[in-house]
Amino acid sequence: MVGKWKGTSKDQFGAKGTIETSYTYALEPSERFISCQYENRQEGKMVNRGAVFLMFDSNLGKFVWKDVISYGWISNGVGEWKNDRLTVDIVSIDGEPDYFKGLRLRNFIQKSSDYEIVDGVETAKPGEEFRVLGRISARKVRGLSVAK
Amino acid sequence: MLLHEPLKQLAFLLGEWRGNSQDQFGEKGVIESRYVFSPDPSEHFIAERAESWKEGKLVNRSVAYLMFDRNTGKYVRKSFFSYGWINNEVGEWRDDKLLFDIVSIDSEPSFFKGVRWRSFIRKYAEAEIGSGLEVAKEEQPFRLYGETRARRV
Repeated sequence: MVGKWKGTSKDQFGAKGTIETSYTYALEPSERFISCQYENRQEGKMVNRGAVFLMFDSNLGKFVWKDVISYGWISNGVGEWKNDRLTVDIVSIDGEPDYFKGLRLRNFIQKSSDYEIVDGVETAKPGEEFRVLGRISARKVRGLSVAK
Repeated sequence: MLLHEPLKQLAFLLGEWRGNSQDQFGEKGVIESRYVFSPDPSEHFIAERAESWKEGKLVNRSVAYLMFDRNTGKYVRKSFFSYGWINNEVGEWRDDKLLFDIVSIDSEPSFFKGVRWRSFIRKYAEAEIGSGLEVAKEEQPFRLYGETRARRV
């Protein structure tokens, strides 16, 4: 993941049009974390930005995910890496907006290749199956060489 | 960038601070610290980037994000420590002190278990703050574990 990535999505996340996303993944604040600073822009205008921190919790045996989103909330997630896919259940949202209440949310990162990922969000109403709310296909534009 | 209410009352934090502590936080000697506070990723948050050194050697780096949760009427802070854990904190601003209960620690180290922690930022003056930790064993009252006094640079 570490490096810079750029992606686009069209008519996703309940929005019309194309959104361009840039991601900078780093080992921050130490090698025990992967952080991601991201920005989403539509027609050159900032839509939102945020910071994700991912860490492996050896007590849980799972990844812990915190997503600090410029709109004014923080998603707290717990996830697993399986079949080249990180699936993160959002277990709580600090400052949760009313329109999320009662919904279940899941983030995912699917590794398509060493230089291509799909980053997305799934949502489910009570008693219903998860469906994709939006997905962004991204390519690595700069970064560390990939360890084999 | 202007901070959103009620983070505005903490706007005095924005900027760079440097300080030190002596024989605090269970350590012998002097620890020097640097803090940079900024409105990031938006006016809804205050981000804090901190580093601490002992005898010129980096001992800890951290990143923290502070926001006001309108659902609970309290401040929320997530603190990511280079040691490899995350503090989940909920707090209130009272008497020039932002006091957080550390309600959970992701990847909590075993030597913390059974101990309660509180963290704080105290405003001593416009250009002087204290950043510290309080600790309590089981049902005992909290006591100061360590405080770094820092001045705006």
